[in-house]
Amino acid sequence: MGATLSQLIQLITGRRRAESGTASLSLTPARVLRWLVLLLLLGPTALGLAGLVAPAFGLWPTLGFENISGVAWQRWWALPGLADGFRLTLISGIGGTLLAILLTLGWLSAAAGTPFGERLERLLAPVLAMPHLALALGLLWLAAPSGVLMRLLLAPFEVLVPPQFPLPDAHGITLAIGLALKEAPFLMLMAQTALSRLPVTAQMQAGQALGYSLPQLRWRILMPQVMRAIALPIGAVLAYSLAVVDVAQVLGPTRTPTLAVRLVELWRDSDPTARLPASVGALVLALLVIVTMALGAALGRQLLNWHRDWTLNTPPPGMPDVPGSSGSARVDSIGRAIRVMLGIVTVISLLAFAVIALQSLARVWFFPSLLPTRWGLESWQQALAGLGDAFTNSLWLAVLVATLSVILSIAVFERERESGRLRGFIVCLYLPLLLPQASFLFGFQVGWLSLGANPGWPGVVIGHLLFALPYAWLTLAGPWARFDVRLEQAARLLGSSRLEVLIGIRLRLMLRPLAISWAVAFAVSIAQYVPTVVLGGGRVPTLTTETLALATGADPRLTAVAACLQACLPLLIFLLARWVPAGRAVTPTRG
Amino acid sequence: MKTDHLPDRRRVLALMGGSLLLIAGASVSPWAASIAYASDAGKGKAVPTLAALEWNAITEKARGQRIDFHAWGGSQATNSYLRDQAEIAAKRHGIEVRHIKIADTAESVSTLLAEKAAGRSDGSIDAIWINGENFRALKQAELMWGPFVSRLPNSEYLLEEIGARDFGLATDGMEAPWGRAQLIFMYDTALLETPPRSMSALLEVARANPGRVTYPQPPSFHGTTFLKQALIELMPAGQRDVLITSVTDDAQFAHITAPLWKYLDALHPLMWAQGERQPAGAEEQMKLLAQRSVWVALSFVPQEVANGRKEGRLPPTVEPYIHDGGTLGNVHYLAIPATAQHKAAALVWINQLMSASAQAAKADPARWGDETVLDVARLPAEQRMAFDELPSLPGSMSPEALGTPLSEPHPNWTDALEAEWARRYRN
Repeated sequence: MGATLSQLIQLITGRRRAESGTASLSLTPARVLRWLVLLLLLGPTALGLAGLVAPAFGLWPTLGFENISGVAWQRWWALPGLADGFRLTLISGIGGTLLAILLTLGWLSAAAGTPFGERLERLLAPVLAMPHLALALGLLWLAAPSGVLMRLLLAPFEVLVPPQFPLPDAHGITLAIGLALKEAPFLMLMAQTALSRLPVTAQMQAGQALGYSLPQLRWRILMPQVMRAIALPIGAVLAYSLAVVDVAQVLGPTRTPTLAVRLVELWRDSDPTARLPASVGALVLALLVIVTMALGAALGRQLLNWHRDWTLNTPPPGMPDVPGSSGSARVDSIGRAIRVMLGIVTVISLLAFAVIALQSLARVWFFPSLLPTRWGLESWQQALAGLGDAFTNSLWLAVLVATLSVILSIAVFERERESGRLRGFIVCLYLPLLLPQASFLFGFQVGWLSLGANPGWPGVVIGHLLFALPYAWLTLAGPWARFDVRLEQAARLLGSSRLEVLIGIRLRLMLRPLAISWAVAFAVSIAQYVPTVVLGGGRVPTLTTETLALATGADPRLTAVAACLQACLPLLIFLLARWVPAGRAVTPTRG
Repeated sequence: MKTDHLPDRRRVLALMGGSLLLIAGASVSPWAASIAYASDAGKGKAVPTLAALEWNAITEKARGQRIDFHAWGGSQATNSYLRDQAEIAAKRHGIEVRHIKIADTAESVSTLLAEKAAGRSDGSIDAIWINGENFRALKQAELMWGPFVSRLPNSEYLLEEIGARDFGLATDGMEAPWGRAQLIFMYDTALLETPPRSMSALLEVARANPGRVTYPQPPSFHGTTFLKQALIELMPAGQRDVLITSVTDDAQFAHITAPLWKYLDALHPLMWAQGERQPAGAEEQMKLLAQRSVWVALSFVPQEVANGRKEGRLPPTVEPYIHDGGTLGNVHYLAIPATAQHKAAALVWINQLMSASAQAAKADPARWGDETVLDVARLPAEQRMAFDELPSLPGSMSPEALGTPLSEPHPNWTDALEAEWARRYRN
């Protein structure tokens, strides 16, 4: 494994080039392979884009559209309810991301590194592992008018029918909250990984020596460092929240849905020509995501600048002479309030998970019964009959995709370190996350089939890779950039080769972030539906394809089993990843 | 230091450009060769060579083939029925059937369109469960194979006149009838004393119980069905014949559909979630009925209530009913894509699913509860027995209660209704 891995990395990153000097245009096997890998990563993206751009400008010969025209644009802008769609998309996407950031900030300022914080992280592992759709359904079954919370409240009264209140609401607020509950644990995990690479203890000791309290130091010193480190994950969350479909269908309004939902509706329209405006919509949505991300990044930078000025210019209140002053009491009570809020959020997420587990074990469970009136394992037995293949497919697919994602990410980092100019490449890596899956993958599917490839495993692996690799990359990017290069320099001076340094020093010390990156890519792969169906032609059944089909039926118990099954593999992996040692302190403490 | 390399950005662009050329080049021939999107292609086509063979020759060819059968996988009843039938197919005909469980038939339509755009004649779908708009899309894209239905031995016992038109579009023998559906409604006897047996009665229930009535959102299959049912019920009976033929002009459409919009304008403010949310389909509405959030639901499977009560996903207080003026009925089908690689085995599989024993098992409300497409009276006595022995479960609908189904309007009316609904209510 070590040898092949090192060869692969060498080949992809072009390490040999340094040795061969300026052997400029010769076609060495290394170069050919490197181009092949680049083509593997960028080819699908280019094909997907072509499959979007062509119909958006009126080209779809199979359907009789053979000339460039603006017909698709006219049809898109003529759709009723577009303005509402834009409003909803922005409210839910931006609102969800902001809420997730706020929760992460709360965790950072009042919980990270404390025993309470650790308990929280352990409890939130199921939420991290649960597919988005499963959490959305759990929240709905928990909080809807006929949900478990209402039944609990109404238990003392003899109520025949559930009350009526607008949940989910018409303005995308429920959707924003649902997205935030799912994304906050991801951001916390990323923040946690960032923290583990920071010399926290040294900074805290230095700060305390200057008379600052711990909460003050978290807010003044750690917060900006962590926020910078998780900027990319925040961008991914924003892109995801603006373009999400399944959660929006469950927690958003349907009469005038978000843009992403509208696109899927058009894509599935029985009139195939509705795919022309759908392609325009996909481009418009991608543009919206890019503009929002750019504005968000600018705003974030500005906020951090203001924060820096504030930190430098404002001495903390009530310090340093009177330890028990009103100022520190206030900080304490704010911290308590934040912890209570984080606790509530965690409990809600766990309850959503519990409701799903209950539903999967219920035989009879109708309003107003608080708990199932009859229990049984029949739903599990029914669902598991014939799921054996799906289980093994899911497992091997995810293992393969996660491993490839991490190796390729490492290769990209190494290459970036050498050339320093990979911006365009990385943008291309991110493109699949920005574009609606169904329309984007259609182009790839057509291109893939045109090349003579058949639907099946290879296509599905590449399809999953398109979406798992960016996550593996962004999960690893922060820790990678913050690695103390002096360790490597020292090893180099002692005569180790670059490869030995990479494997022996860097990868070994980064085991924990590598494991988490692998786990995230694993979870992303498990949850993929559209790429599996589109590129597998249905021939690679996975837990997700089988269970999503069941979820469209009229039996909530089977939907619940499906959600549990989908969550179980990633959950196991996340728990295992937490056991991986964090590695030694990176910055040597100077005596 | 890096003189031997293009700058990365330029390289990326070059790669993308190359890939674009690749896709364009690879696709030119098939795209150019594709035949225009015809409106009613395939009429009067000759029987394909394979289907013209003796049945024995077809079964011989089929032996050892494996087929990918695309069918909605959202119902446990359907899935286990198909599992049983696949075992029979393996034992009796030596063919392996893989049930590809899809969430939405539009996905399979998409696959076939992509394969066609890529110029592939070796498709990944051998047989498909289909009807209505999806069939129309595939037939118009010349992606349906046939005619083949009359070549199937079991087509001899089909009900007369079944399957000539699918939602108003001529099937031309390119899809074989598999089951009959008729719109039924269901209500909770614990909440409503008498069911609303007409659209106007439904509006009364909504007035008396605001927020407890809804219908699936068009253009979903069941949502559009609700619109058509309401249109037929609300228009003067003497006018109904206009629905058989295409919409003539906007003025006619506006005139005929005016009562429908007036009705919906009155109904929407009284609906569940103020109409901001509507169920995605009949399945979601049934889940809401089971939790008493809404008080009426609908289905296209006449024995849905019996099956749902037996499975424990509907409360025992739910009962089926239909509207006094009758309800819409249609047929669902099995078809073979033009690009299918194992057409012989697909023919054998479809013939098996049309057999008396398979149809009787499908009509069993304990297993699925779908109405048969066979004329049971014409069946040989020993095959008829399977139907006579079917149990009657609580919540069943008898054929007498169902009555004669209303026929589906011309597909143009469907399209126009969906467009007008979106224009009026999605703003």
